[in-house]
Amino acid sequence: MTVRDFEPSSAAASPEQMVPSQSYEDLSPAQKDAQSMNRIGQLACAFWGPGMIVFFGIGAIWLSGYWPPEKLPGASAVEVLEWYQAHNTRLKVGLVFMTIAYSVMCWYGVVMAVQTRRKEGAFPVWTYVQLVCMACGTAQIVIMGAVWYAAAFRAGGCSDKNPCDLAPGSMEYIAYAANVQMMHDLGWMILLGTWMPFTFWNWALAAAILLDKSSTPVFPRWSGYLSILAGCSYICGQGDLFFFEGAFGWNGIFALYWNFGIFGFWVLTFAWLSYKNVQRGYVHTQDVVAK
Amino acid sequence: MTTSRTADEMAQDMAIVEKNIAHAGRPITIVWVVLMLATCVSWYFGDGHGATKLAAVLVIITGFVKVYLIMEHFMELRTAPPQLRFAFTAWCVVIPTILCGIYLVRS
Amino acid sequence: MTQMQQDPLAGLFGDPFQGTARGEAIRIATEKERKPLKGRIPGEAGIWIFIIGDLIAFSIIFLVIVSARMDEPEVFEASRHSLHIEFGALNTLLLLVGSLLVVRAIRAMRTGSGGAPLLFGLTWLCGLIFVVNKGIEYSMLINDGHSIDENLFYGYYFIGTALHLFHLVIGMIGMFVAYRISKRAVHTNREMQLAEVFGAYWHLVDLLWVILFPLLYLMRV
Repeated sequence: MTVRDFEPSSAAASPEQMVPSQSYEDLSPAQKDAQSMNRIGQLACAFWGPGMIVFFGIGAIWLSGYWPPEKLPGASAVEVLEWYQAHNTRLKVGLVFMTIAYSVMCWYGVVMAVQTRRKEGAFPVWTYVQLVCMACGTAQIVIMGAVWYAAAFRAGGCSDKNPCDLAPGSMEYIAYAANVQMMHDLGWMILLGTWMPFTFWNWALAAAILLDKSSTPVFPRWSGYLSILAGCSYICGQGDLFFFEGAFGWNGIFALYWNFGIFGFWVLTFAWLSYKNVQRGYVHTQDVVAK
Repeated sequence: MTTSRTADEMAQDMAIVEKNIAHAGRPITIVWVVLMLATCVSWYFGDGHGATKLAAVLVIITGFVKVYLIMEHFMELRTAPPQLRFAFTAWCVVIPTILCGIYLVRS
Repeated sequence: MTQMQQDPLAGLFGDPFQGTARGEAIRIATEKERKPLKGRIPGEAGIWIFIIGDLIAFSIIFLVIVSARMDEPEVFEASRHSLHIEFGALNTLLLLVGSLLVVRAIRAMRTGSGGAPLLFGLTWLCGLIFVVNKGIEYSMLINDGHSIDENLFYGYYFIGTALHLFHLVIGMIGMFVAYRISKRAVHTNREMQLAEVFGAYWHLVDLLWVILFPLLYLMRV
């Protein structure tokens, strides 16, 4: 089996001589046709990198106000309940946008995996690790969306059979608020505290970049180091397990801003690099083929 | 990724490396001794000697002087591109300034 | 895949210039990518991106520690005195000795004068003693009844030193790889580069501790 049918370079022979210098414009019409489906797919995936940041901005910052968190980790259950009730519908709509932002990470994660796949043979370990960890991470934070849905739902209203005209300050009211707070906490724990799939995803990508021996790397070597740095940074989110205040609590500069800032930077960098790779016409090739 | 270079550029690189090697002996050890002495100085001040504010500022500054020495001599920024060297030197100046600023303004 | 590789690490970060003689190592070490700038980037450009990012992260920790100290000076001062300063000082000593050994080791690799494996091995040993020392210090503090959620000082102390410890463990892995590389009679351009990368990383670990130590143990209010 060979997949090197539509190489961008007409004179390409051995993998050593393949040079990623051809642009998409230089391809023959037949080559363009053969690549167009894959090309559009990769572009769509790369697009969702910045796309997910936009959706996250709409949902988390503008609509729901989760980011930055208005209620501190040390807030009481009743305060959290009242925050959920104060702008319930707006918050629910924002949550939907946030969950969309999380789930398009599936698209985005695929584009780097398929591009680094080019360097691996029949058993693409690093590609699989990237995909599996990315999928785990996505599943995990989508569940975070569901947990906050539940908090917003329970805080938002009551049915006839289960009226919530509970007297503020009564035991029932506090128990009701504690339920909402528990789900609120759970959401933050899932978002920041379980950083492992994201870290391993970034490290697997870094390994795919840095272990590449060829003279035609998919991504520049510095991006591998950036990926390691990003992976290490998510570890700071672990602080939300221990802190009710300060820089490592979930509203802190570390657990929240550094984490999200570096993730956003990483996403944009790799979306751009992947886009550049597609523009270079390196869409449909494979360096190491199964014999 | 490697680009072809002229013999002149190669010679420049050689000169840099030879300079490094020539300086391999005593200066590094001297830098190391200075680092150890600086550690003792900051320990002395941190252990309750000297006026509190002055001691705290001295402790911070000594720490960053040590960092500067490590960067210049151990991390070989001395022979690095000026931009890189400048960035790290700037870090060694800006961060202690902010730290001392926070400390002095708020104490 | 034209070359045979006996050593699994031999192929790590492989490069087209395989199998150069030890005497050639100096020349090869200089054959870096020629940037328009003057000067030579130690290791490779990527590690400096990592180091800058890491320094930014730790700068935030430094700023946070100092500004939190000013919020509750009494708590911080009391907690600072309950630390065991001699353990921190010993750790500074270990890291500085390690840094000196790494510089020596990389120069020995460049000149081909031998001794590099021993120096990398000793650095690794310094790291190991650091870990053991840290473990004893942690267990003493925990025995004294301190914990990460006791107050903000201990929170920052434990998380800051734990993050640093994590860095150090990665650095020890790096020293092991550098040791394996330096054991070989010949090293390629990429291998030399990798040893330099881990050397620079080890110095990063050192300099982070050089700041963390005074901020946590020595700075008075």
